[in-house]
Formats: sequence, C-alpha cells, structure tokens
Amino acid sequence: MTPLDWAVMVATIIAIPSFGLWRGRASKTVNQYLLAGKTMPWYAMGLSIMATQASAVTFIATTGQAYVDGMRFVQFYFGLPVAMVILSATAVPIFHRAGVYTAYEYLEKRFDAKTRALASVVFLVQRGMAVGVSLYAPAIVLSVIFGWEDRITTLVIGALCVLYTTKGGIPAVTWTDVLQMVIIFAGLILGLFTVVSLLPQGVTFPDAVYLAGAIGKLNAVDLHFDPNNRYNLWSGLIGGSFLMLGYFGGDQSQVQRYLTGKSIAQSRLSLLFNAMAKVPMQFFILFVGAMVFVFYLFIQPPMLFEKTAQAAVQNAPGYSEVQQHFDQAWQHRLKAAESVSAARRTNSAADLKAAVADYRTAHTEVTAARTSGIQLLQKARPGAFNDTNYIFLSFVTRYFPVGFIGLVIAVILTAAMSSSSGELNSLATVSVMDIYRRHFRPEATDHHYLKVSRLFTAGWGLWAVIFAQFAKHLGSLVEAVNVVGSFFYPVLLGVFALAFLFPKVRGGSAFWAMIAGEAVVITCAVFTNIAYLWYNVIGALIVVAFGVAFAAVRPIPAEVQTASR
Amino acid sequence: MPVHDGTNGPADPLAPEDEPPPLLGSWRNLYITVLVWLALLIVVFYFFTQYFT
Repeated sequence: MTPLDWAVMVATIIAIPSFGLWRGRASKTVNQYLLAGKTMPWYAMGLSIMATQASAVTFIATTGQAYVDGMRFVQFYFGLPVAMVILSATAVPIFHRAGVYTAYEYLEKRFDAKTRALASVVFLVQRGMAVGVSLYAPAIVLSVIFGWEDRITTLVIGALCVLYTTKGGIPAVTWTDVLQMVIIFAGLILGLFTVVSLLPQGVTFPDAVYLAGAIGKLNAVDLHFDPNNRYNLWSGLIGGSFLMLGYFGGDQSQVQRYLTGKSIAQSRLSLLFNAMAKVPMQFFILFVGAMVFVFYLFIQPPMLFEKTAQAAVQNAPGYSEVQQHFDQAWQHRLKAAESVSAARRTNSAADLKAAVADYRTAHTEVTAARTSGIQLLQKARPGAFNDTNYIFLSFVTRYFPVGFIGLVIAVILTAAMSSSSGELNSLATVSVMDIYRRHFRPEATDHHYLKVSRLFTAGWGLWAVIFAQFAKHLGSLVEAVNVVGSFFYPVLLGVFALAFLFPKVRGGSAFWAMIAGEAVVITCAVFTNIAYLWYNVIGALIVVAFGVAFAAVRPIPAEVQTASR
Repeated sequence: MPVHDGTNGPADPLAPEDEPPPLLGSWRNLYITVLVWLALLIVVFYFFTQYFT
C-alpha cells in the first residue's frame, strides 16, 4: 500500500468508531446502553441490521464464492423477505408490548424460567462461536497484506471492538453501522466500476457478462429440487425462510436492533427495508465476484490465492510441472475467451458455438491444473485447503487505484469490527439480563448493571479472540457462520413458534421440545448428508411437533387454567 | 392462526396497528408489496440465469 492508502485507511478506521462513540455518548443507564432508550429511527435500525450481516465476511467470502462457485449463493437469501414479513406481523409487536430487553426474557413471561435459561444458553453458545468467526475475517486482510500472524491480528481487532462497544453500547454500534453501510454501498459500486474498467480493450461489459455466464458463473437460480444440494430455489425459499426466522426472530443480536425502535411501526419498517434491499445487494456483491473471475480470464491469477500456500507449493517436488500445466491451460483459456469475444461480433452462430465449446474445455483444464496444485500443496502441507476468502482481497490489493485500496481495506476492517461489536453487545445483554440479573443479582442498582454489562462485553471480547484462533479450520467463513447457526437456530425458531402460535403449550413442554429438537438436528448433522439449510426446517418442526404432543399428554394444572381465564 | 403475545392474550397478526405505515395505507398492503418484489426478483434472476447460460 502507498502512503495515501495508509492515510485513508487509518483516517477511516479512526473516524467510523469515533462517530459511533460520539453518537453513543449519552449511554448513562442500562436502558440507554442496551436499548438506546428506545429512540432509534427505522433507517438506523435497518442499516444496522444489514451491517451486522454484511460484515467483512460479505466482502471477503461472498465475492470469492462467486469466483469459485458462481452466483447460486444468492438463493440462500430468498427466504429473508418472507421471514421479515412474518416477523413484522408477529414478533415485532409482541416483543415491543412485552417491554423486554431480550427475546428470551419474553419466553419466561410466556413459558417459564428454565425455558428462558435454555434459550439463552443456546444463543450464547451459538453467537459466542460466530463472533469468533467475525473477528477472524479481518485477520485475513492483514495476513494477505503484511504477512502478520492471524492471532495477533484478531487480538488487535478484538481490543478495538471491546473498546468502543464497552464505552458506547448499542447507540455506538448502531450509528457506526449506519455510516459503515453508506461506505459499503459506495465501495461495492467502486468495486464493480474498477473491475469492469480494468478489462482489456476490446472486451466490453456485455462480453464480460457473456463469458461469466458461458461457464455457469451467473447461475443465480436453480429450480431443481435436491435436498443434498446446498443452494437451490427450494432450499433458499423454504430452508432459508426458516433460518432467517430463527436468526431475526430468535437471535438476540438481531432482535436487540429492532427493540431499540421508537415504535412498533419504526421497527417494522426497519425489517421491511431489509426485506426489499438485501437480495439485490447480495446479487450485486456476487456479481462483482463473477466480474473478478472474468478479469482473471485476461490477467493471469496465481495458481493459489493464499500467499503462504503458494509459497509452500513452490518448494514441493513436482511443482514446476504443475505450474507449467497451469500456465499453458490459462493461456489456452485466454485465447479461447478472446475468441468468444471476437465471435460475438461476427454474428456467426456456428463460430460462437465452437468458440464457447473451446472456452469451456480450456476452463476445465485450468480447474484441473489448479486442483493438481492443491493436491501438491496437501502433500507438502496436510489438511483441508480453501483459498476462497483470499481471492477478492488479492484482486483489490494488486489492481485497485491508489487511495481506494486503503478505503476498501478500512471498510473491511470496520465492517468486521462493527458486526463483532454488535454481537458482543448482544452477548453481554443476554449474559446480564437473562443470566446474571435473573439468577444471581435480581435487585441491584442501575449503575451496577451498567458496570456489569461493560464487564461482560469485555469478557465476551476475550472469548471471541480465543475462538478466532480456530476459525481458519472452518473452510469458507461465510458458510461456516451459517452452518454453525443452523445447528441452533431451529430450536430457537421452534420455541418462539410454540410461544406465538400455540397458547395451550406450557413451559415444561416447550423446554423438553427444545431438547428433542436439538437432538434431532445433531443427529441429522452427524449421520446424514442433508444440506444444512434443511436442518432449520426439520429442527423447528420437531420442536413444534414435540411441544404440541407433550402439551397434549401433560394436562395444564388447574391453577394455570384458572389464571389464564 | 391466533398469535399469543404472552401478556395480552391472543391477537390477530394482521390486525391494524395504531400507527399505519407511511406508504400504501396498511401493513397488509406493505407485506404484499414485499412478497411481490421477491417474486419479481426470482423471476428476473431465473431469466438472467437462463439467458446467460
């Protein structure tokens, strides 16, 4: 990076959290610290919710995923608008009327203390792991650029997160997210403009789109139903809806955002704003990744995008032959891609068909050569290998204009810090409100809970840094976060469905239904090949079915019946 | 299906709230608009996939 990039990066990193701290300076009570005094407008909540999902992982892994696997990942988000509509109609008014700090606090009002405690623990385990992954993402940035150790980077980023989250609470987190999302949108547009402008002369934007589509990189919708296929229309719509219902309805890191709303209407608008904007935004990010793929049709990429892996494979016996094979295959694909572009201008269907066939063959050769390189690496350095997360960053640092590199790196870093800080804030909220205040110190002062909230924020930050040390073994980060979520969201979704929709189900039934649901999800994960999105459907339905069944065989006590009349 | 809020008894999820949305007159209309928007996106993406593949 040039001095200008450094200046832009440092200035942005300082400016964004500072802005959040300034907006969060009024956090003097627990209500202000954890719920922003219920003063947030819809656009701040909406952008904050979006920013929590659109973290550094979005930039790093989603673009890389499009490069490797095409755009089919967009289907994962098809369930989000459905979930937002359902939650706007159900959960938002219920949580607002209940006047709770956490979603799980509502479960005690509806069921009992042990159901609240179990849901809280499920959240703490699940989100506690995810926050580690969120912290690890920016470590990739610095490891690619500076060659720093991941653990040092996660430590530094974690310390920064803890600093401003501890100080400003959720107002700082939310307003940081707002500013950050504005910069992310600008960065995305800049990214697409840059990659298209870097295409060689003679290759137009329509040519680039055609070349990406010809080998299946623009596979945005797959109608074929296959329960073992991670991403198709049906898994996205059905499995995705269940996952998003669990995520936005049962995950405190999201619920807490819309609990800060001025009113039910403002909270609903924040969710519906996400429902409209999220799918197009993900499509756009994936499209940028597909265009990066096209760019590397004309500029030779490294065989392996991870620098340390490339360095390791260069010392392996047989490397020269594999690299030569890769170079030749890439040259073949370059000529074939140029032929496709030329054939598109001749208006000869036969020429175009022949050129596309050759282009596809050449791409298969490149893929095979890269696979040989990975196999060579795995002989020298045993273990799973996945360099998806390095693709976009390699592109940015090598080819972006001076100044913009610093801006993009800063956006990635602050995105990671911002989403991690939101997670730390929600983890602290549940720890204090659902565990500490409920079970250990129910009658302390507001000042005491504020102090304890800050201590828990710092404690969860420490945990996140420790967990982040293991994140690199989880494969593509974006999938890792979602896979982990799919182990726990089903039971949260199931218990909230029982709470909202089945008035006759009581605490004991809900509690044991959650246990049964988690057992079934773990069984599916260990003993079947069912794609993880379907765990959400199976797990939630099991919880509902068991809850209703238990309630049917466990008569409601007479005093409860009397009280509910 | 009735929705149980744990505090005020069963309520209709599509019942009008005190504060209407700033657009389209009712929350029900806004929800329908969101779902139509999703359907439109899926159709556009499908033809996008078919055309370029």
